[in-house]
Order: sequence, then structure tokens, then C-alpha cells
Amino acid sequence: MPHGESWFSLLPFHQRFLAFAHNFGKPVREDGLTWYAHEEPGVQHIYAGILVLCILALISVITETSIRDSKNDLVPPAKLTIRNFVEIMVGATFGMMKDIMGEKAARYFLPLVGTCAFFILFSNALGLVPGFLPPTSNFNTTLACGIVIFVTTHLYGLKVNGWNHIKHFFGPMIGIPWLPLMLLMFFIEMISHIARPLSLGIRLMANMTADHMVLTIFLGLVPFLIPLPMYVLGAVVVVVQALVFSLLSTVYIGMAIEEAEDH
Amino acid sequence: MKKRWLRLVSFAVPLLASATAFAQEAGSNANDIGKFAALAAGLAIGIAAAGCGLGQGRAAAAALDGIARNPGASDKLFTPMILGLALIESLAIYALVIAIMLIGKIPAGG
Repeated sequence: MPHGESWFSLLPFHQRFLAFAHNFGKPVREDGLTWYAHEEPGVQHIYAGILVLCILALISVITETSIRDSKNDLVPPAKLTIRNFVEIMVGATFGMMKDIMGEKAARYFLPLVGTCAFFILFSNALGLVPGFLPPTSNFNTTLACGIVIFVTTHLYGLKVNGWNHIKHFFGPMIGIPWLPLMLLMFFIEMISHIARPLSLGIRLMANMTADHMVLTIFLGLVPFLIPLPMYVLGAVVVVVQALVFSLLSTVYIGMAIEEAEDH
Repeated sequence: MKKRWLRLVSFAVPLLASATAFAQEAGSNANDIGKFAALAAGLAIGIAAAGCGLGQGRAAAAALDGIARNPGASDKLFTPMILGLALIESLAIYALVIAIMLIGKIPAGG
């Protein structure tokens, strides 16, 4: 199947949905292709995102019934069940957040960062299955995740620190004689803050796109045993990118809500 | 000494002067952007890969040094090392995004 297509194009309402989506806005280039990947703008990523959502909902329902039914067990089952996998992942995420943000804030933000970690892990892993494409290989998905983290950072930074959060933007020296320095520092800090969700989004999107492209090329060349190292590399990249996204968002939120010492 | 200098100059001057014969006429700008875009895309990813290789080499070397001094710490060192490698690699990936955008600017058939 050509690049950009997946099993979702076999869905019965695909053509009508594609025609419906093409009426919204138009691609930026003249020949009708998107500017960052030179392909037909498509809706495959929307289907893939909805599929990941359904998978996550199913997993959470299974975990919850499993925990509810086994409330009296002290020892969890020994095999790798879905409940064990979810417990491992939530435990790892919470441990990482506790090291950075402290326990109280980690408990408060665990739903947000845990959702990011689960969603990105399962979205990335969907790209390794032949015939599917990862929803995070589209800049829209990853930029949406980045913007959520950005809004969270500033919202909770303002709520916890108030005026001090904006005072950080102006640099170390505040006062009337330091006005040029304050202005310069404000622009530099603003650019650095705006670059954060962009960098989160671009890092994830480009990793997944490059990974998917490499797999496509190798599977087109020799589909028998040679793509196996590429699959191993792909599996490593999937986990590492989810880890990097969660860790960076934890660091940004932690930096925004920590109590300032003296400046 | 004077004869050697004369020989050197008489060798170099026709070489440099004939280089102007190979100079191209200035083409129209619409066709040139494809050439420069292709060159820029190759250079972008090449230089980014070189820088990334150096940076990741230093990170991996530091981690390996730590493991060699204290083999019991290899578990604690693994996660920060992977994190550092991923963050350094993301800089090369920003250059890859620009290179992919530049490849799109090459006109078809150019």
C-alpha cells in the first residue's frame, strides 16, 4: 500500500469523510501537498488516534475490573497480565515524577503526564504493526500534546506563584535603570518558552516519521529478515520517545510550580 | 630561487585564469532554487549528523567510564544515558525536518 495509507482506507465511510475533511482549509503548497512531508493531506491519523483511544479505554476497563475483583489479593498474578503492565507503567511514571516534582505535586499531575505517556507509547507502537501508521507521525497530534503541556505549565505557574511567575521572565535584575536588560531578557525568555511545545512536538513527529520511513524502505527492499534490526531500533525509539516526552513535560511543570527561593 | 618562483607562477596563473571559462552564465532564479535546495539539504543533514555523532559519543563515553569504575551502578546510569542520547539526537532531528522541507522545494524534473 502506498505511503500514507493504512488499513483504515478500507473503512466504508472513508471516501465521504475524506471529501468532507478536504473542505476545511487547504494545504499550503501550490501542488496540493502538505509542506512538511509532501504527501496528500489525509485523515488516516485521525482514524489511528481514535483507534488508540479505543485501545486505551479497553485497557483501562480491563484493569479496573481486574483490580476490583481481586481486592483481597496481596500478591499480584505472576504472569504479564494487562493489570501488571499498567501497574508497572504507572509505577515507573510516578517514580520519575516523584524524583523531580516531589510527592504532592506528582500525585496531582500524574493523570496528565500518565495520559501523555500511555497515549504516546501506544500511538508510537501502533506504527510498528505492518499496515498501520502512528498518529504521532503527524505534526497536528504532537503539537496538540505539546500545547496541552504549555497551557498547563503557565496556568499552574500563575496559579501557584502568581506575579513571581512573570517576574522570572524579566531576568535577574528588576528596576527602572535595568529597563533595556529587562526587555531583552523578556524576549529571550519568551522565545525559549514558545520553543518548548514546538520542540516537544517536532521531536516526536520527526522521530516517528523517520522511523516509519526507514521501515517502509526496508520492507520494500528485502521483506524477509533484513528489516529485523530496524524493528529493534524502532521498538527502542518508541519507548525512549514516550519517556523523553513525559520527562520533559514533568521538568517544565516542575520548574513552573516550584516555590522560588529569592528571585 | 627566482627560476623556481617563475615556474610556480607560470603554472598557477593559467590554471586560475582558465577557471573563469568554466563559470556559468547567471541562470534564472526559478531554476537555481532547486540546485541550492538540494545542496542545502545534503549539507544540513550531514553537518547535523556530524555534530550529533560527536555529542552522543561524549555522552556514551562518560556513561561507559562510570560503568567501568563502578559496575554496580550500571542500572542507575542507564536511564540518564538514554535520556541524554535522545535529547542530543533531537537536535539532529530538527535539522532533518528542515532538510525534508528543502527537498520539497526541488522542482520535479529539476
